[in-house]
Amino acid sequence: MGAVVKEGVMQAFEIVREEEIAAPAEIVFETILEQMGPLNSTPEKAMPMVLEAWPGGRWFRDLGNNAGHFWGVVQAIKPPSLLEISGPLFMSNPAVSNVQYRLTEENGVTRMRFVHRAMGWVGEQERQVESGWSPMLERIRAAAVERAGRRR
Amino acid sequence: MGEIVVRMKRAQPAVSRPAVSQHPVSQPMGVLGWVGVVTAVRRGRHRMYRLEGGGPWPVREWMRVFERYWNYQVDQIRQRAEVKALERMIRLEDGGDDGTTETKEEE
Repeated sequence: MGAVVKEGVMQAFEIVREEEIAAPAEIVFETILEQMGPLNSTPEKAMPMVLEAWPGGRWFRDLGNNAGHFWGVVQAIKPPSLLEISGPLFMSNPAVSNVQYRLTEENGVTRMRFVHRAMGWVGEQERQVESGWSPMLERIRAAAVERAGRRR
Repeated sequence: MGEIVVRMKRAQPAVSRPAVSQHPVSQPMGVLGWVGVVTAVRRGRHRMYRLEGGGPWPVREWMRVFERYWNYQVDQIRQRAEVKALERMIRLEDGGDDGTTETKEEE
């Protein structure tokens, strides 16, 4: 067994997006539940999820035969103005996320404020190492090209 | 060059020597040092390389993955909600119900 004290691995990030949607809040809220649930998808593929839309309800991938992936739990839900989820999402790290959709409606137009905050050991993990280093490799490439240019 | 970095990162030693002979890597290691990825320490006839900490890259990569996912989700929500709202408006104009009658009756 190897035990190592890890320093400097705790990090945090925040993603915020605000959107105006030409639809009443109740429709937007219903759509959020569908999109986070059975219609969940990545840009590449459909990835249906189960979202139990009540306080304490689970948000998870059900792969059948007792297999799956737990992403989070409904921390707060107040139709049609708030959905808040907390959990590990798809990070196989000791990290936690808080995701919020907040809706306010005015004259039939809904303003949706989306926030995702994460903190914890947001370091590299086995499957992410290669792609995680790609920006640095790009920096190295650019530096090498620049250096080569100066030598000429 | 990337291969050298990944191997060192996986090995996790505080100070490690590349698992290849020095001559072929001296130039790329020089570049790595120049951009702050490694620092070189001379020990006798050997030059040892220390991989500098993970830096901000892993967290930026995670953020990029989530950002892409959420942007797609939010775009889908906006598009689908607007189509639904439009369909409901058309139904109402045609004299149909707005799709909420059943819920109201249940209450």
